[in-house]
Amino acid sequence: MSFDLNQLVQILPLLMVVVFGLFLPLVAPVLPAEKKGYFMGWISFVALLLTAGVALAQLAGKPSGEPIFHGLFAMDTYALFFTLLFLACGAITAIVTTYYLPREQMGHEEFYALMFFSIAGMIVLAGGTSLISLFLGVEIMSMAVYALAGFRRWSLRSNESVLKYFFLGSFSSAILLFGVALIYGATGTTQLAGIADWLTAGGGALMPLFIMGMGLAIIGMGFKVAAAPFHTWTPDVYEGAPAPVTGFMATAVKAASFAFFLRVMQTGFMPAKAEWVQVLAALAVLTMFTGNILAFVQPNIKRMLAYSSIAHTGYMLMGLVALSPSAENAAGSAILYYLVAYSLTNLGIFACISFLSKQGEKLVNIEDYAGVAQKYPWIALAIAICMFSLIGLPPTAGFFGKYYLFTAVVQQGYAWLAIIGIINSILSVYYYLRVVVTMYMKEPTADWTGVSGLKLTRLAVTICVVAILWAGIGSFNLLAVFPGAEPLLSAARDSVSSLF
Amino acid sequence: MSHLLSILILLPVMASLGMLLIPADRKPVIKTWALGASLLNLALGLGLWFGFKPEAGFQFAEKADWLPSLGISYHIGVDGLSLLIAMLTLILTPVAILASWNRIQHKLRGYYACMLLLGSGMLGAVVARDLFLFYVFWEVMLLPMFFMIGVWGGEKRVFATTKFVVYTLVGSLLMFLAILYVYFKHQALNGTWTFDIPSLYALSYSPTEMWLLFGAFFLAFAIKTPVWPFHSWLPDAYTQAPTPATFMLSAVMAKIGAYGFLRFLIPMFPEATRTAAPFIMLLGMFGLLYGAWIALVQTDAKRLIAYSSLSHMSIIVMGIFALNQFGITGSVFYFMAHAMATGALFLLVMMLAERRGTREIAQFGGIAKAAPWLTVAFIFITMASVGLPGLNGFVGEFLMLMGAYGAANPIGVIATTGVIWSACYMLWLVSRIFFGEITRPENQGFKDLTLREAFIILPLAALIAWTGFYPQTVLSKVEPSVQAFLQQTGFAAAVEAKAAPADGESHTPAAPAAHADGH
Repeated sequence: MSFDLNQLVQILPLLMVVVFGLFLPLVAPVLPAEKKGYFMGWISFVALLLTAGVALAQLAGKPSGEPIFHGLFAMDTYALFFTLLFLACGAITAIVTTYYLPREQMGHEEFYALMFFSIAGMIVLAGGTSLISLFLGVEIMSMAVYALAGFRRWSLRSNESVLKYFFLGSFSSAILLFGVALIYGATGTTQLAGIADWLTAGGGALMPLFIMGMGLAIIGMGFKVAAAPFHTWTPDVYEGAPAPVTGFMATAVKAASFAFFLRVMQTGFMPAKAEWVQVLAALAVLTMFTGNILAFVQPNIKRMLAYSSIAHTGYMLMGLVALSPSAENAAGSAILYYLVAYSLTNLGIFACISFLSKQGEKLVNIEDYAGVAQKYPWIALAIAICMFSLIGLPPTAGFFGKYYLFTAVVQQGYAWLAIIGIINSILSVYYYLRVVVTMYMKEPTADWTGVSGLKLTRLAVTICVVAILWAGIGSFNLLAVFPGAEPLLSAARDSVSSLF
Repeated sequence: MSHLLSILILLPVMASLGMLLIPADRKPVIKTWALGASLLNLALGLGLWFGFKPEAGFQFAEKADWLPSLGISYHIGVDGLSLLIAMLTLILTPVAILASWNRIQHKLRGYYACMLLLGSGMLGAVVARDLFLFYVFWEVMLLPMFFMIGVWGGEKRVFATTKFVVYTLVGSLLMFLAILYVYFKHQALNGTWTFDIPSLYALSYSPTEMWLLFGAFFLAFAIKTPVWPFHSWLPDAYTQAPTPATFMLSAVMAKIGAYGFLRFLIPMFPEATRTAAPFIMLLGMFGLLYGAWIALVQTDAKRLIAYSSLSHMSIIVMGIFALNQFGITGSVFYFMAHAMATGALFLLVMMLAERRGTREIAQFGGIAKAAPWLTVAFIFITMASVGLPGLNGFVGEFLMLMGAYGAANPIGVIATTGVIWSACYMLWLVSRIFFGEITRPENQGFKDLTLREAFIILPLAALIAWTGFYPQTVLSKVEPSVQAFLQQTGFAAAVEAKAAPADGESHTPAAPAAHADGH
C-alpha cells in the first residue's frame, strides 16, 4: 500500500477539521474586537457544517473502507457515522458557546481551535484500525478536552477538577499503552485485524500475556467511557467544566470513546470473547448501579447528569456484552443508535443548563429550577422532554434506544442483564422526574434577573427536541435532515456492517 | 380504508398544539377552544359508534409500516371489547373539560393541552393492534396525568404524582421486558419479527417462562387497574389530583388496565390464566370488601369515592377472571357503568367542595332543602353506583356476579355481600351530607346546581338511565366480540357447562337485564 492522493481525499473530513482548527486563531486578530466572539462562533459553526457536508457526501458515495496508511486507519461507514455525530455535537455546542463565551468573558480563539482539535482526535478514534493510531486518537482528543474542561481558568474548583482529570487520564493512558505493548508482545501486531487473526489461530503459549494486555486495555478504555470503578473523575469534571463543554464531553467525547471501545472489541478482541465477556458484564452491572444510585443524592444538576452519564455508560456496556461475531447481530447498531439518542438528549439538556445559568454559572442546583416552567415555559418543556428521553419513555429517542439495546441484549441470551438494566431504569425514574417536578410543581425561589442573553440557544434546544422526538417516532427522513428512527437504524446497521 | 380512528387520535394533539398560539391571558378562548375540539372529536366519534358492526370483528382498521425492519407497524382498529372504552374517552373528555371550567384558574393552556393529549393517549392505547404501538400509547397517557396531578393537584400533589408514576412505571417496564421476550419467542418459533397482537397470542412456553411472563403482564395491568394489593398509589393520586383528572383516571384510565387483561394477558397466556384465575378472583373479592370497608370509615368524601372506585374495579377484575360470557360481558358493560357513576360522583363531590372549600363529610349536613337539584343528582348517581335495578350499574354488577357464581360459587356469594357494603357507605354518605339538621351556619342557603354543572351531570345521568333501561344498545355491540374472545382463548366450553345452571332460562346475558326492567 503506497501513499497516494486518494488516501488524502478519503480522510478529507479529518483534514478539514485540523485545518480549520489551525486557521481559526489566525483569523481572530482581523475580526472586530467587540464582536469577535460571535464571529468565531459562527465561523466554527459553518466550518463544522461544511465538514459534515463532505462527510455526508462520502457516506453517500459508499466508501470502500479499505485500510489506508499501512493499515492504521480506515474511513469506513462506521468512522463516517461517528464523524457526523461528532460534527453535529460540535455544531450544537458552537451555537450555544457563541453567546456563552462572551457572557462568561472567556477566550474565543483557543476555545474553538481546541474543539476542532478534539474532534480531529475523535475522528482518528472512530477510524483507527490499529491500537497505535487509536492511542494517538485518544491522546489528541484528551489533550484538547483537558484544556476545554479547565477553560474557566480563574475558578479553583474548575482547576482542581481538571487537574484530577488530567492525572487520572494520563494514568489511564499509560495503562492503556502498557496493555497495547503487552498485546504487541504476544501477537506481534498492533493491528486489530491482525490481533483477531492471531486469536483465531489459537493464541498458544503467549495467551496469558495477551489476556493481561487485554485486561489493561479494557481498563484504559473503561476509564475513557467512565465505567465504574474508573468513573471517579466524571462528576468533578462535569461539574467544574463550563456547561457547554460538559455537554460536549457528555456527548461527543463519550461517543468517541465508545466508537473506540466498540471497534476494538468487535474487530480485535472478538475471538477471545469468552475471556472478556464476564468482565464487561460485571462492569456493566456495577456501572449502572453506581451511576443510578449516586445520582439520587446530587443537588447539582451537572453532577446529577454526570452520574446519569455513568449509568448510561452501563447500559451501553450491556450492548458490548451482547456483541457477537455474527454480522446479523443487532448489538453494535443498537449502541450506535443509543449514542445518537443519548447525545441529542444531553446536548439539549446542557444547552438548557447554559441558558438558565447566570454569569459565573450560578443557578445550577436542581432546587434553583423551582418554577422555571412559569418563567421559561419552552426551556422547561425541553428539559422535561429530555428527561423523559433519559428515562426512556416513548415517544422519545431515548425510549427507542433502550428498546433496541435491550432487544439486542435479550436476543443474545443475556435476559438477566436486561432485567438488571430495567431495574436500573426504574431507579433512574426518580431522580430524572425530580427535575421535572421541581420545574413544574414548585414555586420559584431563585432570582432570575440576569439570566438570558444566550440568544439562539433556544434554536439549539429546539433542534435537539425535534430530533429527539423524530428519532423516536419517525419512519422516514424529515426534510432530509432529521433521520427518523428507521433511517437512523439502517444507517447504524450499515455503519456497523463495515466492521465485519 | 377509513382514517377515522387516526383522526380521532390526532385531532386532540393538533388542537393542543394550536392552543399554544392563543395568548396565555385569553382564558375564555383557551377553554372554549379545548371544549370545542373535544366536542368536535366526539361528534366525529359518533361515526365510530353508529358505524360499528357488532359481528364484523375488528373495524375501522388502519395499517401502515412504521419500523418495518423490526416488524413494528402502525396498526389500529376497534372491536366490541375496545369500542366502549374508546367511546368513553370521547364522551368524557368534554365532560371533564366542562368540569374544569372554574376549578382550574392558572396555567390553563398547559392544563387543557394535557387533558386533550390524555384523551389521545388513552384512545391510542385501546385501539392499538400492534403490541409496540400499544406500549408507546400506554406510556404516553401517563405523562399528561403526571403533570395534571403534579401541577394542578392538591397539597400533597408532588408526593402523589411521584408515587403514581413510579408505581406505574415499575409495572410497565417489567411488562416491556416481557413484551421483548414474547417478541423473540415468536421469532424463534415462526421465524418472523412481528409485534402484531394476534400473532403473539398463545405461543407455546415452558412453564417457567409462562409464569414469569404472565406475572410481568399481570403486574403492569394490576397496578393500573388497580387490583388489591397493588392499589396503594390510588388513594393518594385520586385524592390529590384535580377532580376532573381524578374523573379521567377512574373513569377511563383504570378501565384500560382492565382492558389489558382482556386484550393481552388472557389471550397470550390462556393456560396460565386458567390456573391463576381463581386466585385472581380471590384478589378481586378481597379488593371489593377491602375497598368497601375502608370507604366506610373515610371522613373525606373524595377519598371515600376513591375507595369505592377501588371496590368496584375489583368486581370488574372478578368478572373478567370468571372467564365466562356473563362475567366478561358484564365487566365490559360495567366499564361504562362505573365510569359514568363513579366519575359523576367525583364531579359532584367537587361541586360540593367548591361551594364550601372542604371535602370533609362532617362539614356538610342538611343541604337537601337548600339545594334540591344537587341532592337529586347526587342521589340518582348514588343509586346507579350501588346498583339499583333499572340503572346501568345493576346490569353490569348482576352479570358479573352471575359470572362469578358460574366460575366459583363461594367467591360469588361473598362478593355479593360487597354490593350490600357499597350501599351502606354510599347511603350513609348521602344521609350525612344531604339530610338531617343543618348543623353549620355555612350550609344555610347552599347554592344549587348551576346550568354549567347541570350540563356536566345531565349527559352522564341520561346515559346511565338509558343504558340501564335498555342495555341492549350497548350489549349488542359487545356480545359478539366477547363470544369471539371466548372461542379464541378456548374458554367458550366452560361457559356452556358452568353458566347453564346459574341461569336456567336463557344463555343470553340480555335476559337478566330485560328482567330487571320490570322492576
